[in-house]
Amino acid sequence: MKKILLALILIQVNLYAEGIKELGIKTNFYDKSDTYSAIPYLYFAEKITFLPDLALYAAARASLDIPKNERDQVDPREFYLKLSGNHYTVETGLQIFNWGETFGVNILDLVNPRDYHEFIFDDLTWSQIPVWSAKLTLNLGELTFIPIYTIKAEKTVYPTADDYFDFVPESLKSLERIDTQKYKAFKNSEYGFKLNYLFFNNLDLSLIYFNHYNRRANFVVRNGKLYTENSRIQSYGITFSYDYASLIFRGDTVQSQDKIQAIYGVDRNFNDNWVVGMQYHLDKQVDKSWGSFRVKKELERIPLTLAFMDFFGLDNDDFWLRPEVSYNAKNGITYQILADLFRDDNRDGMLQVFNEKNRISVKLNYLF
Amino acid sequence: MKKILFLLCYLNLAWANFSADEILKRADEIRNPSESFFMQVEVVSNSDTSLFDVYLQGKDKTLIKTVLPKRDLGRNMLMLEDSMWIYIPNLKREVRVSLNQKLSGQTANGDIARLRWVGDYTPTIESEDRESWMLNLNANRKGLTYDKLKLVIAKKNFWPKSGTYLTVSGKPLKLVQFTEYKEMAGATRPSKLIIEDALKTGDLSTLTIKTMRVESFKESLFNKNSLQ
Repeated sequence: MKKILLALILIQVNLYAEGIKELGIKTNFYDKSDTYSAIPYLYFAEKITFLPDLALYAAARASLDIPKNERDQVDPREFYLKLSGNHYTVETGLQIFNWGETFGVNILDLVNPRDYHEFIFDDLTWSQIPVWSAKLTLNLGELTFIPIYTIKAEKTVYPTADDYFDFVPESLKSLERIDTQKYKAFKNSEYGFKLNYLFFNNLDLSLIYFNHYNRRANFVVRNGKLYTENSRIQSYGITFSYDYASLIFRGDTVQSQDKIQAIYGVDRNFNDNWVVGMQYHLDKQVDKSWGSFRVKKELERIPLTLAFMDFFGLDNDDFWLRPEVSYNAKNGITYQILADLFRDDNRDGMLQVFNEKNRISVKLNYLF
Repeated sequence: MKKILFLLCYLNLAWANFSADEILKRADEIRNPSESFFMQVEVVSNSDTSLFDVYLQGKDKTLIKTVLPKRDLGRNMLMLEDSMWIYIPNLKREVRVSLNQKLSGQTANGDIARLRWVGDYTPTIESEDRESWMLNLNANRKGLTYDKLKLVIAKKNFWPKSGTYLTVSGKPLKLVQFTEYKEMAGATRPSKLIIEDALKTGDLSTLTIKTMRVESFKESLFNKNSLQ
């Protein structure tokens, strides 16, 4: 009943709001399986300006989970006030934060945990869990200081045993999963900052610190049950971007629990609408490294975009291809078809849970 | 008496020996007010029509907010000195990009974000006739929207008339016409730029300045961390 009421409110807001409204459906068809999933959704994002310096940002999403129907959701995605001064902005409320410069996994997105019910690398913004928090952005010339305080930590949501992309090892899948930790406002808060400096030579450099709960819980077997345990950790990060002769160099590095994760890359836009990029990925937590390559071409005469991504292990079996085609029709409808293709005999890579789990995804959305 | 003074001024202007730097400075002043200003720009290309709100503060800060098409709403762009970022709404993050990246049709990010030439380019006079100067502009550093430009500037009033944008090797990329001069932000300025692919005749974008007004803005508007 509560969900229906929220859905009705969301539809009403959608009818009268003037911001971004999106109606869409994400459909997945899986290889070597009869399983499919379809997620129709409605999303709106609205900005309401009260005073020249004070605005409310609100966004919500309603989605159905077909055929399971277990995760039909109406979620507030954002709800915060933004106060702008000459040299500062203050944002308070339900928010999503993205730090870091590189593409793909976003290792520096430390503030918001994720919901991994769906494909783990699918639409990373969709899977972010918003948090109630306060953020100050203080402009001091080329220096920007951004402290963030999250009132109550939110937990990472893991797939269940019957999810297609569950990443709990096969031998533990049958165990009941238990999470006994409860977070309370202020007692279980998280906090940190980003310090950003734009150097005269166009080097954009940021230092990051965040004191938070572990986003990768430990799975512990006790009394025949599988417990998730989150521990308090500190993360330190450096992120940079540098533009040299139309080549954009990017890098993210984060250290958590004495282990480093890093992604460094370079990309270039060519005059004829080609975008080519490559990245190096390192994760000392699992002691593995990867490379990735992506290319994108926007056609000129028709609004068609072709893209191709290849992610491969440098010292392991990981191999993932993603070809993608999208068409932006003039009436506001976007059609997208993509495939995720994995190596079937992956023995030692991070992606071995996706052995024989290729999929084709068809997405359609209408912006109005 | 007024007519004689006007004639003297006109003759002085026509016969004065201007340096390439002076000509470029005067042409820059025609294109944009020196103070901070706002303009709304429409870009019409073969496949699309886009509308942008553009906020320019001083000589090196530009914020571009996409108004149309609807699917690009919130795709805001910020330029500080030679650095540029685009906020991608569905990723909820700002992404560093280069100035020569396509904005819409034949228009590059830098065509809107960077209106001034002085400081970015070193000009030389290639040739001149009774009506105009032909200037060669060479980029002072890497990473600008274009490496080389050829500009035709009217001697009568320093109005930029047309231009050719070239690669570093001198290969023509785009042909530009500055047209429809009218009163905007306290001076007569070109309100329409026609940008055509130099190799594909007819593949063009029209950039129209719908409104332009002098206005100053908060410093916090020009921060990549507040682009949403």
